[in-house]
Amino acid sequence: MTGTVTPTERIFNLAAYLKHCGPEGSTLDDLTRHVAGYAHDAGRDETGKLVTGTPEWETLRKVMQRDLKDLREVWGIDADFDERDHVYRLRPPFFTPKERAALIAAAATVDVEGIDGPPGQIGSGVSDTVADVVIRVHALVGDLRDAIDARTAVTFVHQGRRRTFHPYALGTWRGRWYVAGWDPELETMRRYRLDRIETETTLERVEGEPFSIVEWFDPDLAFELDPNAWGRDQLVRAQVAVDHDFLNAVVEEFGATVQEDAAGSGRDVVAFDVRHYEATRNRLFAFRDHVRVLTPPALVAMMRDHLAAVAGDLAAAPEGD
Amino acid sequence: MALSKQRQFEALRTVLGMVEEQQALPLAECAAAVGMTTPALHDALRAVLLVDFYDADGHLVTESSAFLLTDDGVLSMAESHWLRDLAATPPTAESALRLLISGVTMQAITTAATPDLDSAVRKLRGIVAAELHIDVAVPPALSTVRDAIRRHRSLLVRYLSQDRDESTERELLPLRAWSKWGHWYLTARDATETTPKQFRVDRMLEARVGSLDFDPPDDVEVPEWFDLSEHDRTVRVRTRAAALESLPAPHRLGPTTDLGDGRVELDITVLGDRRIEQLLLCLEPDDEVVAPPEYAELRRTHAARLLTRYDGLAAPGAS
Repeated sequence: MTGTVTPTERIFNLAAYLKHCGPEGSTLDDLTRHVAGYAHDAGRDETGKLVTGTPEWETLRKVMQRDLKDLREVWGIDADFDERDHVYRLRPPFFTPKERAALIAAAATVDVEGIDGPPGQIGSGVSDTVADVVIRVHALVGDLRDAIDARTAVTFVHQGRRRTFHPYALGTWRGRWYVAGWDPELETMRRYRLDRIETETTLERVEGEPFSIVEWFDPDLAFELDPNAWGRDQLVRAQVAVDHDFLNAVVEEFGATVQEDAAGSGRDVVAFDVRHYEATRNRLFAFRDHVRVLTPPALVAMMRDHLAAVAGDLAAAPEGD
Repeated sequence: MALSKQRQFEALRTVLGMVEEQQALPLAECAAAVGMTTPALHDALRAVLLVDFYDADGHLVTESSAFLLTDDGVLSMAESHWLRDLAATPPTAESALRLLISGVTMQAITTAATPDLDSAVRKLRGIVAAELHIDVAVPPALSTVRDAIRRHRSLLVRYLSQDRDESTERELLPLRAWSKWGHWYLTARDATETTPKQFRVDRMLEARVGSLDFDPPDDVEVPEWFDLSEHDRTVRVRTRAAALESLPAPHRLGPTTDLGDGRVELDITVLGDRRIEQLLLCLEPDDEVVAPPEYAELRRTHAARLLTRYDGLAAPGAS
């Protein structure tokens, strides 16, 4: 049997046999006796038992160690040696077959561009022509992930200024990648859009400056990038009239609720909280004349004043404002 | 010349992944992917095709059924491969990040329960060891769009094009729904036309499955990119440097010239007439539109037009 078995075949036979033995495991004696490819008769006494401490035993043990190393490093198949029972046992798989199948299905549907895993890893063998969703990952995501994992500060150039930053979390909002964390110079939580970090100056890790993520850090809140969630203006509830065809888009844009009393008028009224007046004004301009702010008066004034000033129509601007 | 064990492993691992993840592939295609000749790969595969022997008790130990090579040279796999089933080592951090992003996105776009994906994603989060927050937009019409595609039926939509002020009713023959650049699109043919077009799913104000049956083509490719350069609109402005942060997205900024008074001069480019109008309005009144001159006029007239929407509204402070 051993004569025609290559080292590769022997290693696969070993994996299959260990799987076959299950949680009971198998001794070196058993493995080298039954797995095709090992010298079955070497180092055994007259009863067929492998004699420990002999040169043949040592050779078999070394071959076994090498084969197990190959299984671990190339195939991720790991067998522990139980010192008490003197048996080799496979460690349980990291993913169940169903979990792996689910991940492969996800990888086939969602193509993640910008991260190339090594060949043979789960999800690397799918055809990228069948993916229905393509997500582009920014080039800095991998390095920032490493820094978060190591709790190591980084420096980068953002809008012409070098900043030191403690990265806590990565995330996307409306198709763009951000990093959230603590800015020790400004002593505040900050978010930076990765495509505004100057990649040509590279991201540098500040070794020897470890940090801890503060307990109160909330990743969901950190990536709530709607200006009306984080803005500092006095909270007001806006009511806005919307032409019916633009209702969905306004609701989506502002997380607005539709007012019940507007049904059937051809123009709906929505309401939403405003914490950032200027950003709200600018976002409303995307809907042109299909929206009109109804209340509160302060927001109405802001819209009117701005439009009047831009139009050069000073007569339309209210006195005293 | 015989392949080294390491080279053989490398090739087998790649081929095994490809076949498990695509169910069946021609041997020649696999060989090309790993840089081997077809006969050489065929030889290398023997090691995994024929794991078959008797144990001490005379029981047959066999694992050959998970990986089949047909007579016409197609490698296939009926179920998951036993070698991959045994893998106890977690994926590398890089692979885990890739899988986590695809897994989390899949969770967001799937309507059915995904217990296996959920548990896999939990494990991946542990490996990635960094909070990852993926924002996935799922337009309300998407499930109806997918339903129509699945049933090979037409799709009735009320659609609002980007450059229109009113929606139109359309009957579409839906071919493929896909998401790229942060938006969902539908490749579909208008029932009255012959050429497929791309429709933004989030611009479908209403959608329902129609009654027209049709045979979709076998293969509908997702566009690599859209050439939108003809829609580029560029304005040169003088504005406060800090104001650039709050410009409406998306836009592209050109190189800035510091004017020394806290302001900068630069080109700002957006796509389409609607977006340039919005951008011009978002500039502060004392910002300057340097060029082209017609944009300065457009800014004034557009502002004046919107201002009429506030005619008749009570002035602030009035009761």
